[in-house]
Amino acid sequence: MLGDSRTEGAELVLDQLRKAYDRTLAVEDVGLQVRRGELVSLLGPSGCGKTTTLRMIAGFVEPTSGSIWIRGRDVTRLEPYKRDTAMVFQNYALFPHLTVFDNVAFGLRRRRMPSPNIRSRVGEMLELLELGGLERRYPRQLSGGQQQRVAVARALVVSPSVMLLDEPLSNLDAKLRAGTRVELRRLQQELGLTAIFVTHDQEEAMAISDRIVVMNRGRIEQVGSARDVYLAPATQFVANFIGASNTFSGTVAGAEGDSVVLHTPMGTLRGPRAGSANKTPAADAPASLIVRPEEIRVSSPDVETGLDTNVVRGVVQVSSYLGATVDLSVRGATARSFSRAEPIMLLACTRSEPTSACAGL
Amino acid sequence: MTLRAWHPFRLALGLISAVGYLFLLAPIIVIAGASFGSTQFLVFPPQGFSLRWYEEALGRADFWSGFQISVLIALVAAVLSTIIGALAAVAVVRHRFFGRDLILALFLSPLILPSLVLAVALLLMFSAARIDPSPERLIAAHLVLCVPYVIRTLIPVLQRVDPSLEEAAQNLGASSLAAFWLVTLPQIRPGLVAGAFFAFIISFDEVVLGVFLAPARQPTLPIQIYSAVQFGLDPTVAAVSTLLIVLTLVLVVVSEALLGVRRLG
Repeated sequence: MLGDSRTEGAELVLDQLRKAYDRTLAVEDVGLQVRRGELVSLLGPSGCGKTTTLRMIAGFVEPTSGSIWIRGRDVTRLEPYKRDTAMVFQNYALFPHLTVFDNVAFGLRRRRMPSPNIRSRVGEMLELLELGGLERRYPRQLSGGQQQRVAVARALVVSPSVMLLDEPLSNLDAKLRAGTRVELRRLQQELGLTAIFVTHDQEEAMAISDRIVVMNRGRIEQVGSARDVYLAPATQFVANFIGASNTFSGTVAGAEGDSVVLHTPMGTLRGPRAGSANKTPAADAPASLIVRPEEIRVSSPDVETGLDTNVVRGVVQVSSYLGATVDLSVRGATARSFSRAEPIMLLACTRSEPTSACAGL
Repeated sequence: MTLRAWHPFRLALGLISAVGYLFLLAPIIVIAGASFGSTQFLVFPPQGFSLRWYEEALGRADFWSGFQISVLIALVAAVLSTIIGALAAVAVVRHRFFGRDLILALFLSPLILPSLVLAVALLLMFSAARIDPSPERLIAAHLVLCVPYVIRTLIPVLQRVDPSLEEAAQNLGASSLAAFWLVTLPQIRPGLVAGAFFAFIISFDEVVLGVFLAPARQPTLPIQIYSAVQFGLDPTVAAVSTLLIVLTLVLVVVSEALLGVRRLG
């Protein structure tokens, strides 16, 4: 039994959730609290346990241990139809033998709503999703985008406690996806919906979520806002999975206030503490400095930068012009003090296109 | 590859097809033709033309009672085997359990068991269990033949239905039974109709099990026809057979129309 402090104010609580198949753990000790009106993404590579977690919330998969609470009610062993969640499936799972109207009305009919009310409620929902006039169409007569909106309408119409979205944008083409993403976020905020959004697309998760749960191998790596997981990744996995990053591995030379100094093959580098480095690092302990490409300033070697720390020299290998930015791959020259001469690649992001570079981190 | 109409290969293909169809249809043509003859004995080609054998066939009480018994048994057998077969097919397609493949093999096995062997086995079993001859006993025997057909018809149909549809229905507030009824059942309706149709025809047409297991006082129509043939080739038998062929054709057209209507919708 959970204490009140853990369920209070939380629309959805996952407590020590675990799912084992035979001998492999699909989900391990997942704990999460979702506030009312919050959109939380479960983000991770395929097989990370995000979909299994979502299906446990919906009731399609029974957890091996742990519990699930929706609005303060323990639903762990409840049948799916009693849970008051509504799911948007990756393939939409629209009922092919029913019209758009009947698809959307399905949940309301299960709730025994009187039919005049159903008519007006479904009408409202179809208007809201710009599906007016398509009531009598069958799913196969709709475009992919329209099908997706019907799936969203069918879930929204029942005003669920928790909305569950299983990669709802992955079957749309790239152009439609970005627009639909914004539209989905607008709807969710307007209606004050509590939602869990499963995706493997980090950009999607960052664009749409209040908080992101980064998962890997069945475990939660980090929970935080898009800014948190991008700027202060808790683990190496998060740093690599979210956005591009440069990792400088080395050993701790010392700590100065809030920053840590590392000896790396690229020279001596200084960085802020993050993740497990919040503890005072021991000297000579292995550590990594992670630098985002856009944090790197790039200049020609003959220009005086006025910097004496965190400067890496190198030669531009590939320069990709991407409109708003230019992505550079720089082959760095190794520092002399290190015997092993391993050149590493540096990813930088800049507005100009230098041919050789000197990067200030 | 396109061939001109007179190409030898095409001609040969057409000829073989025609001979094949003729071979398949010949018994029907002979029976139907002979039934309109006016002679006392069954001859083909028919001599003269008369409908008196139809009059006689329709007037025979033993054929009528046999027809009624057969229709009743076939209807009950079709409904029961469709229900049992549908449940079994759902279990086999949708669920993983110990011995699933064995059960699948067992369900399909009566298809390769000679019906005479099956009839003797069932007769021994029924006598051991002291179950006396009755229409119910024959229905039970027919289920052994019909259920595998229904299962075999439904398995590929069910495999094409997306399992997430039922999940979606449950997610929207339907119990698992309601989800099956409201979502999966409409998807597999053509398969159910086809399976029930097969079951009806198999049961209606069945002679061997009937001879062994039907109550002597209530023989089915195939048994009546069989015993009529034993006493001599009476053209009324041809008339009854022709009527059955017409009835079967009507059933085929009706079920095709039912499925066809659904396809358009």
